[in-house]
Amino acid sequence: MANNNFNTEIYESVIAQIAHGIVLLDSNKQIQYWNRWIEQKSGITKKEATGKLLMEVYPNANLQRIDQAITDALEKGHSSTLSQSFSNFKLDLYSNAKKSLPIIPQIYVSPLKDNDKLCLLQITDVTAAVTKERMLKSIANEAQQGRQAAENLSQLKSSFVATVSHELRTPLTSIIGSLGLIKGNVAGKLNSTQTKLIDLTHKNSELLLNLISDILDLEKIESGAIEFDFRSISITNLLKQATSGIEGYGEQLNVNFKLQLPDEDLYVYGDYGKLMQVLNNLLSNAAKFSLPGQSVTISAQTRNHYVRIGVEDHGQGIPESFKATIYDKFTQLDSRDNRNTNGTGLGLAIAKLITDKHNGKIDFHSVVGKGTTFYIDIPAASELDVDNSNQQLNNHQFAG
Amino acid sequence: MSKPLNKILYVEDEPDIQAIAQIALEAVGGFTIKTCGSGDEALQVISDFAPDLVLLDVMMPGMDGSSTLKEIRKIPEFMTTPAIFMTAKVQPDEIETLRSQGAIEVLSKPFDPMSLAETIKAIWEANM
Amino acid sequence: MKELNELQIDILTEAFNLGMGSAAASLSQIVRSEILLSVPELSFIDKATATKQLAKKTKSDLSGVSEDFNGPFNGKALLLFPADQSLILVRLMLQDTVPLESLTEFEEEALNEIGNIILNAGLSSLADMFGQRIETDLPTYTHGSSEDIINAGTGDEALHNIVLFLQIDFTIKDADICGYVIYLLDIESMKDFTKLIDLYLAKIS
Repeated sequence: MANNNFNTEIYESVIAQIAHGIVLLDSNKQIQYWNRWIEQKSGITKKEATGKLLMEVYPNANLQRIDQAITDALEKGHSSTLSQSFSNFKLDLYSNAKKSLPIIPQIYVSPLKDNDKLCLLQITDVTAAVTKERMLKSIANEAQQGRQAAENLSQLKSSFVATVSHELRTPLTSIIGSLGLIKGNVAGKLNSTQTKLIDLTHKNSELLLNLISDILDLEKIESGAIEFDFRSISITNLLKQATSGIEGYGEQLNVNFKLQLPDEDLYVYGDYGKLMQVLNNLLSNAAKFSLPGQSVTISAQTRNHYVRIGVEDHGQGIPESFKATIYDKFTQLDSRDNRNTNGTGLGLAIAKLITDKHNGKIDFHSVVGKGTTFYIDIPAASELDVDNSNQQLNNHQFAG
Repeated sequence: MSKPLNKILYVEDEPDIQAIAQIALEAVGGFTIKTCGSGDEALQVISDFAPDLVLLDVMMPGMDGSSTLKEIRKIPEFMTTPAIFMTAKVQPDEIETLRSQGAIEVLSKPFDPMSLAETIKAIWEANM
Repeated sequence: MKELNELQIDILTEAFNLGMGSAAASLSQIVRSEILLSVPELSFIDKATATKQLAKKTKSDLSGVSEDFNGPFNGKALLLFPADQSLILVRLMLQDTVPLESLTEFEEEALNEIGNIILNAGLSSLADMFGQRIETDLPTYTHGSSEDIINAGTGDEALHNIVLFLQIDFTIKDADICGYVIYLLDIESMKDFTKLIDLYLAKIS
């Protein structure tokens, strides 16, 4: 006897204290139990609610789905879960007395087990979870929009650079072409002053053209618009072609190029054209900074999983102070040298970008007054798929 | 000896480049040049001019170089006339495509006007 | 285990199609756009076969809803989709376009709600056919391999060894999503089940 009372009272206390809404409806759908939680959140007392239909207590609440769920529970014994996502119930439930913080509810409707005369409603406050989720989604959305905008901007920039380059190149091509003809005395023999002026103009136009090409190149590589064609490349082929390509330039400066090949051919995994571009740049720099009569040596050696290609000159050397900025765009060792020798100031920046894309590296050591050795480390490849593509890329008929 | 190269039909839409190439080929190379600003114009004048060689710019508005060559080849007298393309493109596969369209060579732009005539002469000899 | 004959399978398929029709109507109302549901295939197989078949058809982890039921026969009802399909389904129904990688807590609840409507409808159609009451518990979200899910929580080998295996096709907003409804029944229930079907067949003939 005492035990029964103890149990019932305790159970009642427990249910009263549960931090969720608990409502019991009878077979007429009338409220028979309305717990403390829902009293507090709704502002409707147990006394006011008991005996009424849910619709009477909440006349404006859009209860159609809840009502159907209650019917299903009573008549068929089905349980249902209802969320705000798919229904717009406007149950007036608030977290605070002032009724300024509305609650977003999750509602569970089920028949009471072994009792087909009662229906149980459980109401849970999911406001925090929903709010957090909405915020998460809105952040993800913004992030996606940000990414999209960045991509659009990058594409816009790429096509802008390409268009500008084309627009700049076209008139330059005509300028250089005409100057070439005049320089060649085709329009009449030039006197020495005229020759000097035309030479100057021609050289500067070529410099401009190279600059535009380099800028476009740099932008394309940076933005990933250029696809690198990686294959197994024979070092012997690469170095031989690099030296033969630069011979003319070397003759102009009275610098000769020596080739130091390893005993056995080495292979690297890279893009032939791009690597040629880098070697070309290093060789021409080496020649530029050599004194007439000196020689520049290009060599290759294996270093674990890399092949190191070195370009050594005995020229004026590069001071330590340049080490940090030498790969920056437009860093020039000596601005005077630049214009004399058609350097664009972008060669090393492009070289570094290319070696980076090869997962390699570029570096130099130098002693002022004695000389410099630039070297690039490129990942080695296996001999198995050597591509004997000694394809000459288009000859740039304007020599640097 | 190979057949001499005298008359070149040059199809290029940019007037400045036309002018430069014409001087380069006539003054430096001694050829007789007829310039056309478009593929259509080329088709109109080719029968009267009867060139030994056709030099075509690839990128032109309207009918591009490839299409122009295709149309030229439909004319019986010019079915086998040697043709050379001029293009600013550099990708090897694009060059291959152009070659396979019936040109004996593909030259890149910009070209060096002082050596253009030489180059064309050399190509002519190599292909005769 | 006595398998069902063709007639019994036909009558069940018909009943489920009716049930799915009503579920589709409810879902369509909720999202305010047309949703079509149909049951192209239905079979009675043992649990091991069901696990294998499901794994083969879906080739990935599954997400879905599980609901216990009891009445003239007892068991567990499951609605399962390949995980990525469940994402698509829920997002289409929620009219959500944000590409998060997996179901959020809330989307799990949403899937529960969708599953609840469908599983209840299926059981309703059986209940109506047999003129009996089948009670269902609240649905819970489930995720994992077909093996994990089908074998979850069953200690006794004999229990829930028979599976009523349905493939259901969803069409929502031009997307076609394929899901699977599985009713796990124990052998005792199987006997009762077959009896009820035969009773019904007798009634209508």
